[in-house]
Amino acid sequence: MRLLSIEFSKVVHFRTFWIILLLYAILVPATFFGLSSMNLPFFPGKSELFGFPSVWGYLTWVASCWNILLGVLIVILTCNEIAYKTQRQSVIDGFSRKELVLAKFLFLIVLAFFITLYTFLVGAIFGSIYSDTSEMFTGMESLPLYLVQTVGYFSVALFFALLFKKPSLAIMLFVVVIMLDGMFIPAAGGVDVGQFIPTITISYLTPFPFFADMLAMAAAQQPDLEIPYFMPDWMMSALATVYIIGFMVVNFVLLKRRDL
Amino acid sequence: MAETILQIKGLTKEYGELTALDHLNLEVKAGTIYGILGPNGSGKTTTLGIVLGVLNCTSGSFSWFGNGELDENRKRIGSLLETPNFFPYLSAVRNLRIVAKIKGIENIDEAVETALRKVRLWGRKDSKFKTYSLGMKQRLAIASALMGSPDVLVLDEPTNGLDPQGIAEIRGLIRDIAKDGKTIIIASHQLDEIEKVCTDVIIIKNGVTLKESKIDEILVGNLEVVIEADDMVKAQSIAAGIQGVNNVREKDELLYLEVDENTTAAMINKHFHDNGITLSKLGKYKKSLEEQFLELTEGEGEV
Repeated sequence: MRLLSIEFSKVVHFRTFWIILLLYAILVPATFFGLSSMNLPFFPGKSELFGFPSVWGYLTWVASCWNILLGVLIVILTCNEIAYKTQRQSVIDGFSRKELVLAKFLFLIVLAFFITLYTFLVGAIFGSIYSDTSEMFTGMESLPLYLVQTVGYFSVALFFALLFKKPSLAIMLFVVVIMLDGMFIPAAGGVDVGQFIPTITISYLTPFPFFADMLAMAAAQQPDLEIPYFMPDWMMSALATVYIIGFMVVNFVLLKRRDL
Repeated sequence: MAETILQIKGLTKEYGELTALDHLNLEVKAGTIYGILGPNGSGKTTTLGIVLGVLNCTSGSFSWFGNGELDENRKRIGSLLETPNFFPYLSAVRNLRIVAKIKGIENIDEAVETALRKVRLWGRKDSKFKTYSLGMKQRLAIASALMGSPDVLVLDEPTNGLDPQGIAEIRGLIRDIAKDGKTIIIASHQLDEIEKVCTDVIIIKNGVTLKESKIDEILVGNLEVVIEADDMVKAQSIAAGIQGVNNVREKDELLYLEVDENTTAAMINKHFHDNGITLSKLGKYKKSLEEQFLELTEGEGEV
């Protein structure tokens, strides 16, 4: 609790923090609503898209696209502390390197938790408007998966920030990696192996539901169609958790060996 | 024997080819004001950075309060290392509250107020750090070091960037704190700073220790008698022959005689008188720390 209270007192009066959160809070429901105008054959209509249970899958997918924004926020917060030398000062004042990483990690988890809670509220509102609530809790496993994913993205962002120290470089490379994961590797057909790459495992936690539906439909029509192997959800989140812990260990080693 | 606050043994720091610190040893006893003196780049800040946990040393060890290198030790130390480091967008109070939480101070509000009042920043307590002048930033850093009344203060160039009034204030503050029986470690390249406030001093250059001693011993050990006579050439040859005179040097038309503890100015005067020389000037001279510092650091390799 002491570590968390320290981390939060740093951001509470930091305007950029609130601006980025506000941006996220507006963009997620706005772009989710915009999804209904997507003009694809067989694409679900408003009442299916926004109603329970499919609202969870689609909403977390949309929200996850904006996670990049929050990842950038984490990079900014961390790089600021390096630039202001307050990270160094914290150690001088009595923090151990372990506490330095642990404080950030706890902060990420709590922030990710609130983000997930917000996403839940948005989904609950959309769902209650466009459908009855009888199937509200179906498909809700998307939310814990989204939580793991958010912590995952944050951990990667923290790693990039600590590794490169300069916000410009760290942000750029963070965005590049996330974009690459989103576009090129699936396009290159490397899904079989690609899904085990840490950042891709994390991004696949909230897949585009329509894509899975299409695959299922195609498989029904052509039974001999070769469908790439996808890890089951539980395995993917377990693996993502292992990667998250891995990133934190690397972050710790990085700080431990560094002259601050 | 007073308790040992900080013990450094064989501390070495290498940056690639460069040895910033070469087997440094020192011991700071409780209640002393310990000065680390050296020109820029001599290894002062490196030494403090290592004992304050931000730099990793190549070899050697240190121990605070006889507890080794534990992170917990630093909560009992108030430090100002190089520049003041604070969140620019937070006020003085909010910045100090973070420090208090890190240090695990219990009565946070009281600790913050006491520290800010001591450095006369209470009136600006709610201003953001980035609006502060250089002197105010330095004072806030000192307030931060004073938080929670630590057993030891570590100050690296504490008067850097301050105007004369600010310098006098900080020195007064240091003396006040020392009166409370606290131990203070000060690194500085400003000799008068060390001379005015310290009880012990170590002089380092290029990471190597040149001298470590009590400050008054440094000054006592270099007592000289200064004389002036009409015939300086003759006076010089006579001076060299006096028993108890270890060294004679000439500077600015005056002769400086380095003498034993037992040799008094009166004895010297008599000796010259017996040899037919009347001294037009006779006095005691204490070498300043500055002169000794320059003698010690002179010519020992490039800086």
